[in-house]
Amino acid sequence: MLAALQALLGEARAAVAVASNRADAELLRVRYLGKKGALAALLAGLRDVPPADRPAFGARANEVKAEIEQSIGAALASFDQQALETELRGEKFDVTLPGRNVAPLGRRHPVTQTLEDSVEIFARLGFSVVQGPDVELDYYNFEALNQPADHPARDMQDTFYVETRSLGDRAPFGQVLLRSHTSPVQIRAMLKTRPPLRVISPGRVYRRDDDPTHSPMFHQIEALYVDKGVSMGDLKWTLDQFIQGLFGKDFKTRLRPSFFPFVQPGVEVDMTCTLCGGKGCRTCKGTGFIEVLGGGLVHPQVLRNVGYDPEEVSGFAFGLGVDRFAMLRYGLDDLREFFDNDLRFLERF
Amino acid sequence: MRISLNWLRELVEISDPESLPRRLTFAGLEVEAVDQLGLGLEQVVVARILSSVPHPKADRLSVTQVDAGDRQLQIVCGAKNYQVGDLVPLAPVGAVLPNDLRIAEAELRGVTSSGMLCSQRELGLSETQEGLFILPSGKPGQRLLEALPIADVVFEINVTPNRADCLSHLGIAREVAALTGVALRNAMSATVPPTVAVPAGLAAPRLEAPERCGRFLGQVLEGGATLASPSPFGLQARLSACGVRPLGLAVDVTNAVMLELGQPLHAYDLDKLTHGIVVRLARTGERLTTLDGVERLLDPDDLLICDGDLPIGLAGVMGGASTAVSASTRRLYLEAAYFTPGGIRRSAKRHGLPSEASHRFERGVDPALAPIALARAVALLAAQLKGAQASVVQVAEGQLPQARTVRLSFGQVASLLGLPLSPADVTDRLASVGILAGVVEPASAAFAIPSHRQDLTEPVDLVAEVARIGGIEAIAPRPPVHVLPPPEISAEQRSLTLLRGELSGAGFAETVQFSFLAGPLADAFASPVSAPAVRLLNALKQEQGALRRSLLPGLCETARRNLAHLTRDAGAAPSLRLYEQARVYAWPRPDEPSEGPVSERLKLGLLWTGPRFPLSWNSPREAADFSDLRGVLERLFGRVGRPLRLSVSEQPFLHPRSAAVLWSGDARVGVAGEIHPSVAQKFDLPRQLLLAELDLERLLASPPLPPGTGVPKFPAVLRDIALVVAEATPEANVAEALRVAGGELLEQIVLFDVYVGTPLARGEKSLAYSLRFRASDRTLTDAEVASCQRAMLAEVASRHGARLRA
Repeated sequence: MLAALQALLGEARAAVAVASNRADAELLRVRYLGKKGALAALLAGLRDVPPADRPAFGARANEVKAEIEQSIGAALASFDQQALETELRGEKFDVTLPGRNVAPLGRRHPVTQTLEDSVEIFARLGFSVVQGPDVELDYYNFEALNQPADHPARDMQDTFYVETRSLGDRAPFGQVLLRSHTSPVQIRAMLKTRPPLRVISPGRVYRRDDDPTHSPMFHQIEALYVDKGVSMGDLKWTLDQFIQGLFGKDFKTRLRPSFFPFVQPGVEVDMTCTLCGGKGCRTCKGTGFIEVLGGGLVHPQVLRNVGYDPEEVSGFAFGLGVDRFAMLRYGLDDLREFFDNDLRFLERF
Repeated sequence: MRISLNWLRELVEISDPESLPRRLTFAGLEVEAVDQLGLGLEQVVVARILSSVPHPKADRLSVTQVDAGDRQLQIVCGAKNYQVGDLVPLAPVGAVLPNDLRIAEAELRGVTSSGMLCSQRELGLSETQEGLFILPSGKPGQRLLEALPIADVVFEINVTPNRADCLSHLGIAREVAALTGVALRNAMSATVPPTVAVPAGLAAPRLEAPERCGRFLGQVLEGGATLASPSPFGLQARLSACGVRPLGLAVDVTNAVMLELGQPLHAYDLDKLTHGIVVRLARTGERLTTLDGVERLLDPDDLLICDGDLPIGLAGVMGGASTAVSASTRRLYLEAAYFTPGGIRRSAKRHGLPSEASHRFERGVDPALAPIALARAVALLAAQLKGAQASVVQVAEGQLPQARTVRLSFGQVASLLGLPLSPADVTDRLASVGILAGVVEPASAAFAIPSHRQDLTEPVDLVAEVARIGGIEAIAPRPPVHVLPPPEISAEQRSLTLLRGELSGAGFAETVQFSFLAGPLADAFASPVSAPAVRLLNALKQEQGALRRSLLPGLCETARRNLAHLTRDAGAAPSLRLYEQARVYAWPRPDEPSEGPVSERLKLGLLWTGPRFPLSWNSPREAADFSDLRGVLERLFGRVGRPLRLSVSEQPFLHPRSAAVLWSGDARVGVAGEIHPSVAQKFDLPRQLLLAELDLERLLASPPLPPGTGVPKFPAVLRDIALVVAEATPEANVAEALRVAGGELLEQIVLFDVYVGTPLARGEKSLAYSLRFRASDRTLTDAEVASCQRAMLAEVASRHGARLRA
């Protein structure tokens, strides 16, 4: 009887092997495993098996059933897989077609990008952002910054003035102007806070100039740190951190004595030339350095003007041209392009 | 300030001129350019004109024979200003002149010409001097650069406004001496003894405004007929090198002394003075014709030099025409004075007369300099004029700045500079620039400020000098020692960044426009209720004459310019999405608070024109409409957590069909809509142009939406309803009524269809909503939802006459 089981298994395997489609394989399941199938017929002869052999026969019969089952199942899965592949291959799509474009790539203005990056670097260095008005009183833009009315340093910048006569009685006291630098925010910030304070003030500034390197409107960031014992060393460190943060570790700064009425000592700050990396080129006149900003230690008269005691605290301040830094970062030579807002230009950034 | 190296060398020894620009620059005197004078004249030689005959075929030319030292040459010449025997510059064949002209053997109308006789202009020595350059000295064949002191190096130095003392060769020489450790040369000449009297009628100078004129010195110089004749070439060359035009001996000498010592002088024609000098303030309505021939109405703040009562000069700014030195001048009255800086600056500004003199006086001339400079001028003139005689010096004293001492603590120097400097380091460095310590105490010393350094008034000024002289490069970076609380990043700052990010995602390009914009386009966006614009007094252009009150006109103008090239290059309908985040300006209304004198509000302007999607094979080609704009606005409001609500509103610059006011809660935060067709037509803009402007300050000040309640514990019930209302009823009002009546159970309401047409009656529309109901504490029953829905229907029926669509 065991031999008959073995023969059945052999026959079934051979039949599965030659089955050519799903329907044939389904028929084999009926033929061998169905209620009236070959295995059932063999099992019907169980009563002829001696009782002692019955357990062995039964066990073997179950094994044979499982093996036939598995063999037919594998054949069916294989036919299903073939059918799916045939179906999928029938579907056509060109994956190399352009994607569905919902919106063009929006862009931030290059000056904004440079401004945001700068503000972030200053935030890491501990500077909070403060804002001041674009339209200022002479007092904040000049007078409180140690530039009284007849000071010749006023020639250093040509200022836009605002018409106030038509306002009559409502005209503000003193001359009204468009701030020529972000420095007046120093005064406003110090008048609001007692030291220590560490602030930057980004914003628009205005001067009566219009040529490839001057625009009647541009952007500055003013930085101010007042505390006990602030020195030129603090200024130099902060400048190094900022320049390296914006341009990279290889960039150095260099201080040169200069004059701004609201600082003493005053310095011009040069940085490694962005064009030649310090080797010397036409842009840096062979020096390897380019002039990028001005600053110094806050003048004691400025501190006195806001009620700080210069014997108690000292501070540094500097102001940088954001647009100039953007020009250096992107290798541009005409400042005015920033404000033409030609999309072909804006899309470069 | 242009500084001649030849001149400087008379005042101080310079062993290494190559390094001078760098040394000066790092001492705060930035050398912006270095000019080599005489460059390109190496091949030019001196020639003597031996003969000159008219050209046989050209009236305007002459044929000359010249002696060029080793040879005789025939040269055709166009000039007429020479005589046989004159020495002139010759550019021989093969020479290349500074203007790149290469001299070749030429034939001019049949006559051979072997070289060129040159003018100063052709040699690059003068902008104006035409005609042959008749040389004052030299011998034929000698190189021109050897015959005349032409070769020089000029340093163009940017003298900062505090360094009045460096507006002269002496000042720069003092710096060079301090920086290189050598002594100044004494270049002063012997004084001329007084040998003539001041004319009897001429009273001693009188100062009626002693606070404005600290000192006035006058001296008579009788020079004879050559006072106004051309100066010797050497003096002219000096002046030209410094950018000052030679005008004749008397004026040239006063200018030279100013350039040398820094003291402006003035020369009057003595024979035009009658009463004597009075220095006083002008009277209202008084007039003076200055040297430049302009009659000026004087201000009571102007300081005048008068002859008796008659104004003859605007003190420290410009002399008067009536007493000017002329060709007939035989006798001079020379003025050297100290004027108070502020007043000079006011006069120069008021009359638009920035002169070399006012430039120096307004910065502060050395109060001790006047007598020295006057003596120098008289000596120089006497040396040039045979038989010249001078008078005694007339002196009037006013209020001169006092000598000053400044006490400096050594500890302050070290702590401000972050440099460990000993007291000896400090005193040595200051001594090198003439700032000498009195008694030096352990912690501090009193320093005497030299009279030429009027800029040094407090200790920190000396600290700056120490840094400047010692080299500021020595200062080492030092991280701040005190720890401050971490910086604050305001909610507004964060929100502005978020909005820019969202706009980038929505395909908008950021623009930065000028804050000023005036003209018809700007006016088109103002309304009668707009606050008054802030106008500029001195705009560069008319169209920049006022500060803008809206971001939209600038965006429109930018769009118009971009569309011009986009249309040309793109062919298809060009697409433009622009924004700007910036301030607008207006005079504040009464009681409106503003930090500065003007009300400044931070706004966001949006402009969208063209297709909804970029041109693509699989996107529909439809123009963006109001819904697209609103979609962007919803994203922006959502990004900063504010609820957006629109109400219908008319704006003069928006299409009446699609114009809305934007609200966040109860705060009116902006406008949005489609451009008004007549505005579009007038300014050459597309009609399908969407605009929005948000007041970011108001938006961000409005209350944000409450945070969500998290993952719900109970299931939602979904219902769809379709309502029929009058077509004119704003959808927002219908939704609002549903929301109010739906109360807490109505979790979400979404409009998913709007329909107009059969079977609805004319003037009706259907609005289909998907509603989601949920309770936070229980599972809703059908009965509860049905009751809620009935309440909603009742509300829209009573408010807007809505009925359920069958």
